[in-house]
This record gives sequence, C-alpha cells and structure tokens, in this order.
Amino acid sequence: MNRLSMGIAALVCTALLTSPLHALTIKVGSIAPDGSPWDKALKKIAAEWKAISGGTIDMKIYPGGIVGNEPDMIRKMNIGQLHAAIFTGMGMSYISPEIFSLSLAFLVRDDRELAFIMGKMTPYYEKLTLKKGFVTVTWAKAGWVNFFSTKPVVYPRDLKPLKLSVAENDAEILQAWRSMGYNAIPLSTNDLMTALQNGMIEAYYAPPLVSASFQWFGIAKHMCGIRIAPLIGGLVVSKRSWDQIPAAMRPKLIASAKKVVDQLYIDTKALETSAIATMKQHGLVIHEVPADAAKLWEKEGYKGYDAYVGKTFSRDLLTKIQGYLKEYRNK
Amino acid sequence: MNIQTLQYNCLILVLASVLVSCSGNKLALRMVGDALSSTASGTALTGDDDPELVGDALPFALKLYEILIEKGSDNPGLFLAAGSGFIMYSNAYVQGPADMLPDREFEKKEQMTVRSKKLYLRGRDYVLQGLELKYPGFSASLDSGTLPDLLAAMKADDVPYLYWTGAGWMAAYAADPFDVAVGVGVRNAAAMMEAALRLDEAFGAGSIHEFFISYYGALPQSMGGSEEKARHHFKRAVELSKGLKASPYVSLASTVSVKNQNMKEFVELLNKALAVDVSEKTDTRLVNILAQRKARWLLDHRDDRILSDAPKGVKKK
Repeated sequence: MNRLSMGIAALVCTALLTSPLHALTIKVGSIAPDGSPWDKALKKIAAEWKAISGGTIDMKIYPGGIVGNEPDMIRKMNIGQLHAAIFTGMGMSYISPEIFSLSLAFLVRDDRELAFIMGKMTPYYEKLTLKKGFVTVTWAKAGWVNFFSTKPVVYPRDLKPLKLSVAENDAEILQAWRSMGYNAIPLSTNDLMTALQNGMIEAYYAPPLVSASFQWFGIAKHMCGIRIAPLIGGLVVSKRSWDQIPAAMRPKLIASAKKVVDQLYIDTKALETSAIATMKQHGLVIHEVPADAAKLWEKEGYKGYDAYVGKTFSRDLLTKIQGYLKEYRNK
Repeated sequence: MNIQTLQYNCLILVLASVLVSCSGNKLALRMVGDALSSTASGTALTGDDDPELVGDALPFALKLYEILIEKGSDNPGLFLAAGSGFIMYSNAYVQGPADMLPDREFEKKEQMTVRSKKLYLRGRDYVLQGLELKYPGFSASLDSGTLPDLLAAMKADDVPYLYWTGAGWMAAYAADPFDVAVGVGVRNAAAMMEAALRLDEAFGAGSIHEFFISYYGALPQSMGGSEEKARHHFKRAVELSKGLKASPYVSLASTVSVKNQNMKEFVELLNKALAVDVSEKTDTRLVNILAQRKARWLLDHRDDRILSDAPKGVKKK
C-alpha cells in the first residue's frame, strides 16, 4: 500500500513537473523610467521568456513607477495585483532588510569584491525572500554611487560642513550618516533639484548616470572619485506566480534573465562613461581620492554600521560579510 | 481650394526637381524655397484623410528640402519647413507606429525608436539653422547662457521656430532619456517653448499648450513635472482648439491619467478624442486621424498601462 501511495505520489510529482503551462500573464512593476536601459533590459527578458515558453508567458511591464514606489509594489505583489517587479537593493531590503547589508557605505570597494561577496551572500538572501513569498530570479549590478557636491570633496572633512541629502523616511540611514558626523538632511528625490538651487542641500550621493539624467550635476559640479556603495537590484517574482511555471522551464528562464542583466551591466557602464564625459564637457570636475583619503572614508563608514545592527541586520551577519571581505583581500 | 493647393504643391515639387537639377540659378532656388516654405503648401498634407498616402509622400518632400538646403539656401523659412517636416514625419510615421508595436517585437521597436530620435534631432538642427540665419549667434547662446536675452528680443513670427526646435528636442529626449548630451539641452528647449507661449499663446490652435501637457505630465516631479500645470495647459489647449483637436485628450490620458492609474478618466478622455469630427477637410484633419488611431490603440491596451484591481479571493494584507 505504501509503495502504491509512493508510486502515485511520484506520478503526481512528475505530472506537475512536466505539466504544460497554460497562458500566464506576469504583471511586472518597475521604477525604471520607460526607455531607460533597465526598462529595455526588462522588455528583452519579456521577449525571451515569451519565446522560451512558446508564447505562453506574457509579461506586462508597468515602468516608471506608475504602479507605485517599491513598498507599493511589494504590497501589490502580496495581494496578487502585481506578479513581479524589478527592485533596487533598497527595494529588496523592504522584503528582507538584511539585503541592505550589501549596500553599506564603504564596505565593498570594487566590482571584483562585489562579485565575490554576492557569490557568498545571495543564496542566503534568496532563502530569506523565499520565506516571504518572493523568488529572486536574478540579481543585477547597476553601477556605483558617488558623492556630488557644490564644493570640492576629497576627504571626509571636506564633506562634513556641507548639507548632505539622504533618503527620506528611513531613520536608520539618517542616523548612520549623522553618527559618522555628517550634516545629513532627509529629502525626497523629487525635491533635490529645488533644494540644490536654493542652497538647502549642498551635497548628495547618486550613481553618475542618474546625476546626469536628472541634471543635478548642473549645480553640484564636483564629483568625488570614491565609490560609496554598489547599486544592486533584482528581478523578483511572487512565489504564487513562479509556481505556475513548469519546473523544467524555470532554469531556462533564470538563465535568460541572468544573461540579459549581465549584458545590461556592460551597457550601463558604457553609458555611464559617456555620461561622465558629457558632464565633464558641461563643467563637472572629478576629484580623485588618494589612498590615505580612501582609508579615512572607510574608517568613517564603519562608524555608521552600528545604526543598522540589531535593527536592519544582526551583528553576526555583518561580521560574516566583513570576514569574507577580509578573506578576499588577504588572497 | 484644397485640390488647387495640392496641384500647386505637386507643380512646385516637379519644378523644383527640374530647376535644382538643371541649374544653379539662385533666383530659381529662392523661388522654389519661398514657395515650399510658405504656408500655402501646408493644408494639402494636413487636411488629407489618408495618413498612409501622406506618409509615402513626405520623404520625397523632405529630401527635396534637403536638396535645396544643400544648394546653399539662406531662406530661414526653408530650414523651418524642412525641420518641422522631419519632426512631424518622425512623430507620425516612425515613433508613433513604434510605440504601438507589441513588446514581442522589442528589437524592431528599439530600432524604430533610435531612428525616430535621429530624425527628431535632424529636424531640430534644421530649425536651429533657420534661427541662426534670423539671429546670428543663436546656436552659441545655447551654451553661453545668453539664451534668455535672445528669447526676450524675439517676436511673434519667431514662434514657429521656437516651437519646432523645442518640440524636436524634447521628442528626441523622450525617445532616449538617458542620452545625456541631448538631455542637457532640455531646459533650453523648455525655455524656447515658454517664450513661444508668451509671444503667441494661440499658436497652432493651442499646440504650445499641448506640448506642455506632455512636458509637465510625463516628466518626473524631480525634473519639474507637475500634474497641476499639465491640467492647466490641457484646459487652455481644449479652449483654444474649441474642442476640435483630439490630441490634447490623448496627451493628458497617456500621461497624467496613467500616472494616477485613473482608468475612468483615461477612458473618458480617449472617448472624447474619438468623438472629434474628422469628416470635414480641415487643417487638423490628418493629426486628428493619427491621434484617434493612437486613442483607439490606447483603449485597446488600457490594461497594459493601468493595473486592474487585485483578483477576487486574494486577501489584502
């Protein structure tokens, strides 16, 4: 009897694994503007998934934040109004706060360190998001964040007298920057241009491509060469939707999405290089950071980590990441 | 009158080909240039009810303009006619159809969008050359910060130049918002449109207001976008066109209504666009037919832009 039950169970499982996919519409939210490189990459993924699934998977993309900001999109995924979304690292941390640990200021230094640490940590983060009902189809690297300011900034002491814009509605981020000794002011991105124009803000951090696109650099004409933190993100699908896709098809979809985002990183780097060249033509001055200044930035950065420990992630998690980085740097 | 205009244009085109190819006669060049750039040559195209026919004819006319320009025309009106022609063609026959392609034709859509951007910039640059002929040093003023002074000195007959430069520039930016080299000039384009609005608010039966519906409706707030301003310009565009243009309704629906995820308003506006009468041969007939084509497509694809409610039975968290 037991054998019979086992046999039936195996048949059921096989049937589930190979069952044909009936038409599945995946509604995908994205804060990336329509026509941006990230939006184009998402459309490419949509086209590839349609081909892989023989036309049965139809992704409807809602770009430019028209279906809400990142917390809104998570809420809509929870109630089944949306089925997937492209998130920034910040957005993914609204699902699992621990993911923010990858975006800590002055923790990871470059692309190679980032690739190493993502290889070590993302399987753990994926388990955390899965527990919340979300499948991380692929992670994406989207560049690095730099300081832009109205006066030259090379050393931390240059930034401290300036009014620094930080993300609004996030008490930990505000506290972290203030505990590092900076004059941090919470501000909505929507108000950044006006705040720069009227002097309410004198510095902000952003990827160069964003600074160029929003033309904030027209006022904050100084870019500090040090990379503050990587900009990461990911394509996340609700488990409810993902489970409707035959198991045999899923690896192909994942591979296709990974291929597209890998190419996206190459494309955005090229675009960023071109954007920096254009900004320089229009008056941007880039201040390279000597080794002693880089060390000071890292030292200052560590002071801010305590603001997150015990609230956003555990001390153990931070120690683990720092341990991996030490291991990598000692190689 | 309209048939006469069409015959007139055909004659001009044939004569132009002959004159330009057979002689370097400056007088002939000027005559053809003046004829092509005059307002008399406009309604044969804009009053047509067959967008495909016009789309097939336009490239010939555009190349003719370029031939005349290459021959050394110094007629600003010819540069304006060429530039506005390229911008109109790109909008109606390249970007418009690209926007309506399904996502599965992603590659084709991308190629067409890239092409539309190139045509917009080509058109913008011709109009800028026309402005340069009228106001030597105009192009340099874009980078030197002296544009506001020049704009303050302009007159009502400069409005078409300002309008088409701004429209071409902004359309190129919208086609590729991450082309920083184009993006840095967006504020100049907006300044030209503001100047045009100040000089002749009623230009093109509210065309400048229409531009600002899309401008304020589509731009993110961080770059100056404003629903309130978009609605103000919508109101004025409808008033100035006496409700006879479909495009203001399409512009507000596809920007503000989508941003607000307001399906009711989206449908109402597009139905108003479809209700505009296109049976009469007016100078807005062609653009109305094209705008109604877009309105129909938007209505058919409303769920691609506005998220429907959560499925029944799913508990809200």
